[in-house]
Amino acid sequence: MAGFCPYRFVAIGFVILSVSAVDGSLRPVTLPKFGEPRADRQPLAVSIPVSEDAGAEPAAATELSDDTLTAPILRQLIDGGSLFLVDARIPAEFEAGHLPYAVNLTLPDFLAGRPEVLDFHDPSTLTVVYCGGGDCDSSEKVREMLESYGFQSVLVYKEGFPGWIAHGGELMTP
Amino acid sequence: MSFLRNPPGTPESAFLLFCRLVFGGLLLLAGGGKLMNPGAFALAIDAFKLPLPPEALPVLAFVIPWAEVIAGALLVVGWASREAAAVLFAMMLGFTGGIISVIARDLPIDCGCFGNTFDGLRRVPLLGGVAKFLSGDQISMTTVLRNATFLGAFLAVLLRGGGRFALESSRVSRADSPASRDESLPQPEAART
Repeated sequence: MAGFCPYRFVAIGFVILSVSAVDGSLRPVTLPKFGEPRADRQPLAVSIPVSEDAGAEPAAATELSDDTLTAPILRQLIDGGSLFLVDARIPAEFEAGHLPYAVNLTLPDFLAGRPEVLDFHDPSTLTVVYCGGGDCDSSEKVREMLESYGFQSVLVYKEGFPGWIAHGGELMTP
Repeated sequence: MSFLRNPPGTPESAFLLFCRLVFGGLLLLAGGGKLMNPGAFALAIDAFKLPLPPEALPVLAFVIPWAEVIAGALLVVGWASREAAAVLFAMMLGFTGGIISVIARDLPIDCGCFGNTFDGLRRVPLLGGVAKFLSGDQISMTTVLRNATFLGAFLAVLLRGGGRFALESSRVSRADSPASRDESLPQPEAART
């Protein structure tokens, strides 16, 4: 029975490193650089469509920021239809259920360049990004990527998917 | 510890074959899935928020999957089984350390351990549960338990070799066969003197 051969072990390591080096040079990976989330973001002037069954005070126009974007307001924006809603969670979580009319757009989707789905949305459209809530920072990163492609009215729904569920929000599956 | 010196019998060889095919095969698939999108895997490593320089991420995004593919393939065919198992055991130890540190820091992140390899199986009855166990949504103690299973399998092969059903075993047994040691056969000059 063959025992452990250190030379063979080193040879396997050498092959792994060599193949990795060749593959890495043939299709190099360039990762986007992210800084700290910007603290100087100004609230956005948003027209919230009046919804009869939303139970919230109708408002023609209001200022919205990440901190004031709540589930009831988000529901009104979704019902209004003029919203680009982005789910920044991993595809498996998205497929299990997502907010109505959300598009799954994760950070890896931006690695190959501008995602095609952006072509179907006006960059001036109000865009809301959400992820798994809590400490998840993928919404912030996806917002930065969207802003780099000209989307300037981007808000992050901080409560994320768990917040939507907690408020009894409806879900859709692909 | 004398049992470690005895060659594995048929039942033990069958167990080693199971370890090699199942766990080596899974690592082979995992590596392949990551190589489909190394950028996504680099971001998955980044999400662990480990004290790594940013330049290391693209390097690891190729080295780890290729190590899984090459060592996994060696384990499956049973050539250099112990050395391949040593590579995978060391890697799995590193992964498990990273996962435990994520749990300790309470980071709600996806493991990224299997890339997108098993995403297609999630909706298949029965297999969906297996897929979820292997490439679970979020890091948890289940992930550690899964890695412990892999560690046990790789340790078994590292200590006992690939077993008699391994490719290397057929070569060794031919070399050790009575025919090759038959003294009636002509011996090299140096052996006779």
